[in-house]
Amino acid sequence: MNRGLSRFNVVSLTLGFAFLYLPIVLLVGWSFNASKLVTVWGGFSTRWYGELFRNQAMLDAAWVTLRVGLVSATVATVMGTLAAIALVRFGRFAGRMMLTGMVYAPLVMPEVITGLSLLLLFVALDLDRGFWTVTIAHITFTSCFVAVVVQSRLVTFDRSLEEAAMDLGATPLRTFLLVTLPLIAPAVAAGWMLAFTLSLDDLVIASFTSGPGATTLPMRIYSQARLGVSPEINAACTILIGLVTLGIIVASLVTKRAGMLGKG
Amino acid sequence: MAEPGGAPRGAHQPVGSVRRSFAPWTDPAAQAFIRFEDVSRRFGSVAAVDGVDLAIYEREFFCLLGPSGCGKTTLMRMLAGFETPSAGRILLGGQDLAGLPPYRRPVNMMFQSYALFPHMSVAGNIAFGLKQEGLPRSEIEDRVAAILKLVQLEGFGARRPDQLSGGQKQRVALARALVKRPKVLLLDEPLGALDKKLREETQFELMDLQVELGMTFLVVTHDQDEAMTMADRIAVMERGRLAQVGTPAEIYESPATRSVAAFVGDITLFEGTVERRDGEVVSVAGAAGQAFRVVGAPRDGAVAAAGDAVAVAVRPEKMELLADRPEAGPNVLEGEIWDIGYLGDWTTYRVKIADGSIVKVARANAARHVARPLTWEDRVWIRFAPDAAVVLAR
Repeated sequence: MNRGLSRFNVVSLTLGFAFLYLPIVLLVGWSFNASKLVTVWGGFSTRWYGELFRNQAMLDAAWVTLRVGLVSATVATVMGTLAAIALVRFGRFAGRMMLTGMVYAPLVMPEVITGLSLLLLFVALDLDRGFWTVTIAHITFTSCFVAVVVQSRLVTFDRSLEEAAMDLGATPLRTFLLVTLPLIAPAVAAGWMLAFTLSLDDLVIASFTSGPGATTLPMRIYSQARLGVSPEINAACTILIGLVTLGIIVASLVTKRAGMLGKG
Repeated sequence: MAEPGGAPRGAHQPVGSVRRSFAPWTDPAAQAFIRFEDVSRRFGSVAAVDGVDLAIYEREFFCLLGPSGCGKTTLMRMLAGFETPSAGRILLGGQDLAGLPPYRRPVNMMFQSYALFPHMSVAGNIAFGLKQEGLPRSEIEDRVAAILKLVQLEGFGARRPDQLSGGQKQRVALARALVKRPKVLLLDEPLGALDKKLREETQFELMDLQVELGMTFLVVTHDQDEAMTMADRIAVMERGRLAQVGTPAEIYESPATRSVAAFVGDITLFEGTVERRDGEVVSVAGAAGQAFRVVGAPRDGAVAAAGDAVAVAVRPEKMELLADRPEAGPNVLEGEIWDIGYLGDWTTYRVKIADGSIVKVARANAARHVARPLTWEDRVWIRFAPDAAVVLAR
């Protein structure tokens, strides 16, 4: 067996990664273009980042996105964790299979459908669309991701640790707070990071459920891009890419650490 | 009574003075401390524990022995409160434990996997149970320090469980359960994860500790040597039922059933039919034509009437191996040495007798050199005394 990479492998890997990342690399590169024209390289500059931070509409949108992300990720983490515990722990209760399926379903549900159905719900309830409707929508679609992450950690959790805690006199609540939660905390944190990242870059669901005064950053970028791609948009996207990448890296590191702790 | 976690090691009475005279189960006036009354636990249609009646006395070192899946762990978990009996009751010190959750029961358990909290230090693990009681910090610190001394882990308080060896983890798990000063300490395969040498040392340490603390120990094990060494009494379990309860010597020397005889130690069973019974003496005609005479009434008075099919059971070390033909008489078998296993202290001979079956005979190697050692294919005679064998019903 050839241990190294054959020429064929090198070529296919290069092409594959180029296909995936060339557009992003181009976008990041152009964001440092001094020229206002998107197709002409005018030298390196960070002026568009400065422009971006003077663009009030962009800053407002970023602030909305951040608030939606923080609130929805936190609530989704609590709900997703509770759902995961219910699914893993309470044995065979009626409808468990269906509930498990229903937790996974939103993962593969087209966002357009999620967005549209939530819009119909908010209209039916006569809710004013704005910050809270976007937040609720994001909680809905991110909590299942949290549930899946936490569930995978709970499945390998040694139940005798909880039994030992109860044997030593801890009530079920204290057992959860003192033993279970600290040990699944890395998975919960990874779930939060994932939920925050998903909320940060969601366009479709936010477009359906947002209202006046609650324009998120992806929505703002999209609407500006329709009027023509400006270097400023490239800069905004670069920052967004940076944030999402950071979030995913942190989440995966935390998950890895959790896996190591679980084996110990 | 020495206080667990309080008494310094070393300042105690000799273990023998306590062990020698301890036999509350022979005293009709003694009150059982733990009582299982017709306890069953069913999982679906399978009975893991099936109608167990058992009395365990205060300060007893009691072992539940049996193969895996015999229900011994389930029985212990019912006492700890992790399983609920499907029928029957469990009493501790006269109090019915039904409805009492694990965290309110005055028993503590040492888990087979040790179940040490990986996110806490050794001291944190041990203090966990005391914190749940809401004790003042200074008392917790004192008791943790005392118990660490008792299990010889002084200076290990700040370590994490993953920085400990298997033997040290076992001690921390023991200390964590002991520091709560439970009325009963439950130990689930306490030595299962240790290597052989450490296991033997720890057996004796556990025994000394139990006498020193004056605590009732209930141990679950599948290892007969462990049970024989440590226990005051053993309950042999089999398919959810108690096959026999008795002292190690009773279990070994007077097994109640064939399966107990076979599970605890080695034994050879000679099938036969009772010819005659004169009080204590039972004469059995072996299926292969041998004549046996056994002294000592069978445990069950109903068996061993003339004509009953029985087995004469003899332990390997209770048989003599002779190179020369002895005087004719009962309990003598002729055979040929088929296999020899030299173990250093003992040699076990597998002897093929007339009907083709194999009899296991053990001989202590008392001398370093033997003038005429027995070897393969030698013609030999096996002989045993009438009180060396036990008659078992079929």
